[in-house]
Amino acid sequence: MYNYPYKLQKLINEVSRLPGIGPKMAERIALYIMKREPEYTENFKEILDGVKDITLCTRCFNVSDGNICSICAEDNRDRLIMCVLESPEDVVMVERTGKFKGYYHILHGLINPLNNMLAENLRIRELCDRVKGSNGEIKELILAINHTVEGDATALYISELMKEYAAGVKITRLAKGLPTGSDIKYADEITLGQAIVERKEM
Amino acid sequence: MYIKQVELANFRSYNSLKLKLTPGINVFYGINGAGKTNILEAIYCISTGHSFRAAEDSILVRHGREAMMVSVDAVDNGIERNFLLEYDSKARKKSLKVNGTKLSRLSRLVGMVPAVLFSPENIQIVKGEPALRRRLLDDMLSQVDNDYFLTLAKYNKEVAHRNYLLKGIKEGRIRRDSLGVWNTQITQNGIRLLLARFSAVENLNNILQNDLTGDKFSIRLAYTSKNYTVSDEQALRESYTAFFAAKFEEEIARSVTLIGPHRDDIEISYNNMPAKSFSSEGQQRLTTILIKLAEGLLIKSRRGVYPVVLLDDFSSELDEPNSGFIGKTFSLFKQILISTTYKENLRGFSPAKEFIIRDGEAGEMY
Repeated sequence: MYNYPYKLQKLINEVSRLPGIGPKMAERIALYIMKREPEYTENFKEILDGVKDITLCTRCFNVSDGNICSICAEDNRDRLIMCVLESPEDVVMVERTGKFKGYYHILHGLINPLNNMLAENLRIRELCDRVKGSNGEIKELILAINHTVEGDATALYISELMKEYAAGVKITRLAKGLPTGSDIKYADEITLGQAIVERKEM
Repeated sequence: MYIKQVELANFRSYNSLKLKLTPGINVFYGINGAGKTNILEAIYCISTGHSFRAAEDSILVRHGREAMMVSVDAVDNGIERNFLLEYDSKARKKSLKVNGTKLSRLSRLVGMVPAVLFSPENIQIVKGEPALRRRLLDDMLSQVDNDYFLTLAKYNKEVAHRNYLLKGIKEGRIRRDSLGVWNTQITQNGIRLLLARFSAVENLNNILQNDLTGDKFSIRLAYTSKNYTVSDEQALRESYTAFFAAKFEEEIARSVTLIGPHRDDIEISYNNMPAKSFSSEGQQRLTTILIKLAEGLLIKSRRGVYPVVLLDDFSSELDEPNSGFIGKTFSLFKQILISTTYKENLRGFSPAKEFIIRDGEAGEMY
């Protein structure tokens, strides 16, 4: 049976391994790359080559192109408050809100034993060291992690640990509830129920 | 709530079928394999989103066809709503529409058309493994309490995580102090489930005695656990703490979480004797049906909606007094749908509407 030339097959196979890309789409992308002029692939190669220079910030473990990421390098952020996140892509989300001016700490996952993710595989130890090392400067940790079984366990683990390491630190989690601009009529009863439980005084 | 009309297309043995039902007792007669259970199954699917006897949705599609449809018009307090369940076996897609609007998740369906089902296999609730009795409570509480439904899903996952950690500790891969948060989580969510179950058992016992058996005989449920008694939150918390301190090694050795709602049982007694070992087949059947009817009345009292009662293959083993006794309790419900082989099986009550099912078609009896 006829198949593409070997090198093209290899490209298709590699592309199809990218998240969210099926075999048909992989074929389309591979053929597109193939048809482009040589400068395109040269440039692409260089970009891919540059990936190895992306590292993790030694302070907050966000993605970075140097030892210290651009956020940690900013000197005028609020030092009293720190936002704890599951992964680097969450930083962009929180930054876009414009509501948080402190520094971050990225855990790189949540406690998930079934996937062999334990507390020691996450950057929790480093979080403790940072909080402790701040000598009481950090007053609050916002745990901006998912409200799932794994997120709950991780949040609980961190808050228990903080009682030991830095007892004075206030620990908060994101509120659950209604999305902005939504109509109560169309909210499901679970979300609305949580919004009632977590209501705020005016 | 009652079902006014049910319509099937390519569902099981039916090419197409449309039946108008009425409040009260509706009976489907038919020989074995005629397709009478299929009608109850279709309504159960509308109630829960899945079948009570097909492990896979594709089995529900008529042989040689690709998609099936069940449409039910249900009336609650004078308000009529249409529920449409569609399954496409080629795309493996199931969808449910309420008055033409698609539900974003099938779990949103839970409790919209409440139903209780009795089928002959349910006698295993009395005779069989504890898991079946736990499931009885879980299914019932999930229908009346959204919080229970969500907590149960969380709890099961937490137990899975914890068991995996126990196994890792046994194999020396994981540190012994990794369990801390999981102990806290299963204690908290476990107790939430337990308190809901305790009160459900108490409710069921009251309903059984006050509304169903009276003083004629007694059917009682007793919640049992190796590690705690029926008590309040504080006492349960203490039991969990004591358990974790005493049984840690055993849990590691067996790599299983040995405390909590997933390990408990519900003892069922008939006239103060364990129904599992002392009751006859007929008494066990009677016990099961009455527990199911009690479940129906509990749903009614908690949600304010009458569930549709589905009795599959009714009275195959009930004698005349027992069949008549159950018949009298039917007046406590809005609608009962019964499938049975012969008219002679129904004693002590009279149907409002009767159908004869034959070769994938249903004829109304006048």
